[in-house]
Amino acid sequence: MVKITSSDNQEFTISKEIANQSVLIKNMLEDVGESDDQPIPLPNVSGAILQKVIEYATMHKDDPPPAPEDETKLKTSEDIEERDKEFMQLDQGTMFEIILAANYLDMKNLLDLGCKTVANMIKGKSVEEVRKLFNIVNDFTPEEEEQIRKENEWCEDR
Amino acid sequence: MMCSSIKIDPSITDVISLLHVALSELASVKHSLATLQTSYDTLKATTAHNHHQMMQEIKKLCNSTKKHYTQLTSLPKDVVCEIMSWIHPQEVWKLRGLSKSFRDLLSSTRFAALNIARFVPQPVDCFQDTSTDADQYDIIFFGAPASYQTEYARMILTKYSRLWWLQPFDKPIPIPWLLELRDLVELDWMCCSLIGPIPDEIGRMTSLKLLDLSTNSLEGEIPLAIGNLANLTILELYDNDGLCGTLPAELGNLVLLEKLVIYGTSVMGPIPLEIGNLRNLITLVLDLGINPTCPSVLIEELSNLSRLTTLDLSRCHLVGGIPSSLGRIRSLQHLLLYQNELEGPVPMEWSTLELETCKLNGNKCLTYSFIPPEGWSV
Repeated sequence: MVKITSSDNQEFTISKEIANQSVLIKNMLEDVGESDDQPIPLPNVSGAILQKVIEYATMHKDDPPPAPEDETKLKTSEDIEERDKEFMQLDQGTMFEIILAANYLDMKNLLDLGCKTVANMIKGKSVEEVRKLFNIVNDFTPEEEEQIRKENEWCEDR
Repeated sequence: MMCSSIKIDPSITDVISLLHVALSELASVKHSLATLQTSYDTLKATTAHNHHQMMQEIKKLCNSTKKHYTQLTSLPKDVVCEIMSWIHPQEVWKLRGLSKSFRDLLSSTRFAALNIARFVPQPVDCFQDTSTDADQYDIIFFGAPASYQTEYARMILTKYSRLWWLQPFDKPIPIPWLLELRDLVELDWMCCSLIGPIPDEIGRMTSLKLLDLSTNSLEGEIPLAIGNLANLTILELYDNDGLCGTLPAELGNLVLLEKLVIYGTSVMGPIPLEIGNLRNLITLVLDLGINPTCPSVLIEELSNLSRLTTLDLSRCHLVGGIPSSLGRIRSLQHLLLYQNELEGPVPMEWSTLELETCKLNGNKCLTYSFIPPEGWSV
């Protein structure tokens, strides 16, 4: 078993196979060796988010390793398992926190899942709709906006 | 004794009783005041406590907003790149319009590379080395913004040594491709509806052995940098109406050239003397527009081209005579000099060649010291 602590000092005890889904923790464990039972501090992840991340890792602990031909096959943002879709039904804040945690913990599958989910929220929307959805402030001058509009010709070729 | 002796005025008795009443009233007021003070103190304490509690709550709320409400715009650039990379290149490019930071991020080659890796499969086909026609991705990225063109060339096109495409692009030649494809050996974009100029950057593709840009709508001058393509053996630029200027002398640097074909353009003469350096030429086909300041002539130096089998300089507005030294080229099979303004004697040696084609008709005044063999057009 492996002990980890969150930024707000919550301690979690998880199995090694779950811990190893994070390349960061896996490398740390390899560095400190088996014997050390000091908890691993994760100062960039809060307890609430770590809880969700552990939930994800637990859900995927029995996944078979990807087949070599699948590795080279292109994946799209539509390729999301149903259980993962349900897992990602969260408010924006939590969703982005999980993406940040996955990035920090080096959990490729979770990072991809988070990024695909956000990408799917963006797809098919107009620039104005995306701005509204994510509180993005338009900081262009009218001239700059016109320039971008001109450079969009390529997008119309589709 | 004293007391009894004092006679108390009845009015004073009244006053005393009144005083008693007043005293008791006073005591009651004092008591009320004390009660009021206690109530006030209690109230004050409660208010202060409530205020403190309220402030605590507000603080907590502020903290939690700051801490938990992470936004798309507050994520690190790398992570935003990851997210956006899942959106099709031609859709995500539009999102440069969101804000300046998105514009800069999505215009970068770093993002283009990530995005292409998600959407374009690595080329796998039996002709590993040769792309025999443009696929859907080649078509998309031919007209893409520069960041995508650069990364597409680096990631996909560098896998090929030969691009043999036949696709109506209706687009200019992508300059970033010319810069990236330094190892490309054959570039055949005949009949690709190419528009615009032949960029100077073509001169950077120094591994090229074959360059065929025929039958397009290219315009402007043939860039002098074409003279850098020292490995070129085949250069074909025919049927590009808009190509103009004069034939660059730099062509003379292409000493390995075996085939040079430029007709159906607006390129003018004269024929540069340096063409005489191309000693490996087998096929030379030119038709040149009239240059008002310098007429085209058949240069002596052409006699150096000892491997030549096809010499087609018809419709080149050639004036003057045919140098007798041209009779030394023994390899000739196809000799076409029709529709010029040549005059004077035709080299005697030509009558001894076994020419498959010989067209000298439509000239000003050519003279023969021999009977032109059957089959010649004179």
